[in-house]
Amino acid sequence: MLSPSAKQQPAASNTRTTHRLLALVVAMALGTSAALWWTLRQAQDLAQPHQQNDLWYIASVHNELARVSLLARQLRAREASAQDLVDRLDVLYSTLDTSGRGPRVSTQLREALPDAAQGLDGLRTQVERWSSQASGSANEPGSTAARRTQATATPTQALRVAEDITRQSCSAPSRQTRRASSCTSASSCSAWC
Amino acid sequence: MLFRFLAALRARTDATLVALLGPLSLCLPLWAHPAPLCPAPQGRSVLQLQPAGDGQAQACDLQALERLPALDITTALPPALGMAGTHRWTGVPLRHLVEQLGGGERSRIVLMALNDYAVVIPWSDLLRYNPVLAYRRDGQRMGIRDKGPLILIYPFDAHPALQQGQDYVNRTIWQVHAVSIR
Repeated sequence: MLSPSAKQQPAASNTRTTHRLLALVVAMALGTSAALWWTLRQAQDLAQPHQQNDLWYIASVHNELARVSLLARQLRAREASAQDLVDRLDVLYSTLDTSGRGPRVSTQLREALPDAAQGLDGLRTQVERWSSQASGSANEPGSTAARRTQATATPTQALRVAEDITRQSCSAPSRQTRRASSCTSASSCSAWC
Repeated sequence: MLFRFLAALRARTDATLVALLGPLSLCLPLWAHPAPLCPAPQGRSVLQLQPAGDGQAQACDLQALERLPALDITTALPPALGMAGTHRWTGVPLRHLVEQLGGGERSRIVLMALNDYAVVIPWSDLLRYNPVLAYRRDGQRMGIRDKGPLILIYPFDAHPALQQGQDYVNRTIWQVHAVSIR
């Protein structure tokens, strides 16, 4: 026959086990809740693509730069028209425009990566110049949309611009935006040059 | 006598029918393939139209689009689109374009932008909201830099429901350069 103290020992052990199991269940519930909260937050972010952030902005600029570079090479190979280049430069220019994108792009980028933001400003000026040259119009500040749609690209000037783009596509502004887009490997950035 | 009269009448009727139906039959191919929506572009092509089925793709310039039935929508756009203020947007109702291209309730209406962004517009939107493919903002043409030359505009002010959620912000596609009916 067991003594009363021997009976109490298994009872205390059972209580401890119960407490441990309860703690485990609570910890698992907390972990699941945290994972669920994080997943919902990610889903909410993905469901609101209009809330553009720096990464989206830089990725768009990256894509358009690659297209301009490719089109410049096609133009030099006589596989694209001068007007195609002007249009593509205008698309790049509108992509670089941060005025309507809200503080998440313009302010955060300037605070986090001031060099890259400065490089993008320089690129915008450069694109404006290329576009004006390729469209055969003088460098008129504040050029209007109507002038742009009516501009007729001059092949010789466009060719000169295409050569300039090809030459500069691996130069300073590109490197800065490449840094901004967190390009780490050369292969992932090969579209630039 | 009666038989001879009937035979003569039938011969005359046949001749009349042939005379009437002959020229009409020449028009049958035209009915089978509707006339192109836009004539051959005189200026720069700004829009590629891909009709339903095996129809031939068409290119439109702004002048041709301006000759199509036009509709004005005066509205402000959601702030997320980055085009502040209330503007008067003039353009072709997308429904008209889709119908002319042989599209309908079961079609997949795809609009593509110059930066390769693409959206599928439900047919129900065309019936309910009648969005326009705008080529003018406040009477002025829009360049690519101003998110033109073509923007799909929904009447956001007339239908507050459009401002809820994200769908109609996403469907307000700018720099449109192709409409495809699949």
